[in-house]
Amino acid sequence: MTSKPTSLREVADQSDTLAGFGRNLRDWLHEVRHLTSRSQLERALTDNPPCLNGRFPNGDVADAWLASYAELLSSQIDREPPAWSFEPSRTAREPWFAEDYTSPRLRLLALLHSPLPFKRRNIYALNVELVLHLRAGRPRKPENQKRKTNAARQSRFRARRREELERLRRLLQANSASPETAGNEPDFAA
Amino acid sequence: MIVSVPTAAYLLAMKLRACRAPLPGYAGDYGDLAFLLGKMDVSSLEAAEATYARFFPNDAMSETAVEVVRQVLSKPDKP
Repeated sequence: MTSKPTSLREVADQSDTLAGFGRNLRDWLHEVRHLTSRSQLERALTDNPPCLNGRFPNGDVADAWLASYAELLSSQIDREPPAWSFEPSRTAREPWFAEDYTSPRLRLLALLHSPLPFKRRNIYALNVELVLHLRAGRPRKPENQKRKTNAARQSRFRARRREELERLRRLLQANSASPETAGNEPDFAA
Repeated sequence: MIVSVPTAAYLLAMKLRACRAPLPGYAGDYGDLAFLLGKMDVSSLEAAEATYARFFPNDAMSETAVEVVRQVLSKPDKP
């Protein structure tokens, strides 16, 4: 079982059909919702995805979707779009409308209201999904990473305590061995 | 574990509000809207708007949502 794609490159890597590409892209859009910082989002799109044109029928449409999302996401996070998104091969050969846009009016709305990054690559889609939850501060960490960090912190704390106890034991031994201080051991119970 | 299930009417209203674009090979909200409209026996645009208004009384349905509903209802083989 493959994990959900976390970058546009992984979307392309895991896709062998146009339908599979659609599912992977949807999974990626769900993953993007969990990213809270601009640097995390930037990492999701900087790697150049392999071209899908030639891998399966209508691969040029998939390439255009990837490039469109890269540009759209870059504009949302105030970053320069990656250079690969403007390669000439990242444009659909024919204007693409969803199969569900059968009514002329729906197609007209798509022609009018598709976001520019999509329009310029021959993709016409309404209400393109891209939900971001950016927030100030450090990027949110996944639960398993938090558990690892906490375990490491606990381990460092215990190691420090062991060292302190060892130093204390050595001090007590040195004290009891010395004839001048013999009998003057500190009373810890006090 | 608590599993909460929304009513079909609420789901329809939310889908009408989002009306997200289909992706290649994936109908997305459009497919769900067609299914829900058929399931709830919604046979007119006004009925769909009334369901939407129950949950979002201060908003009108978007132009896209109106058009998608019209398209689904105009199909003779609607689910």
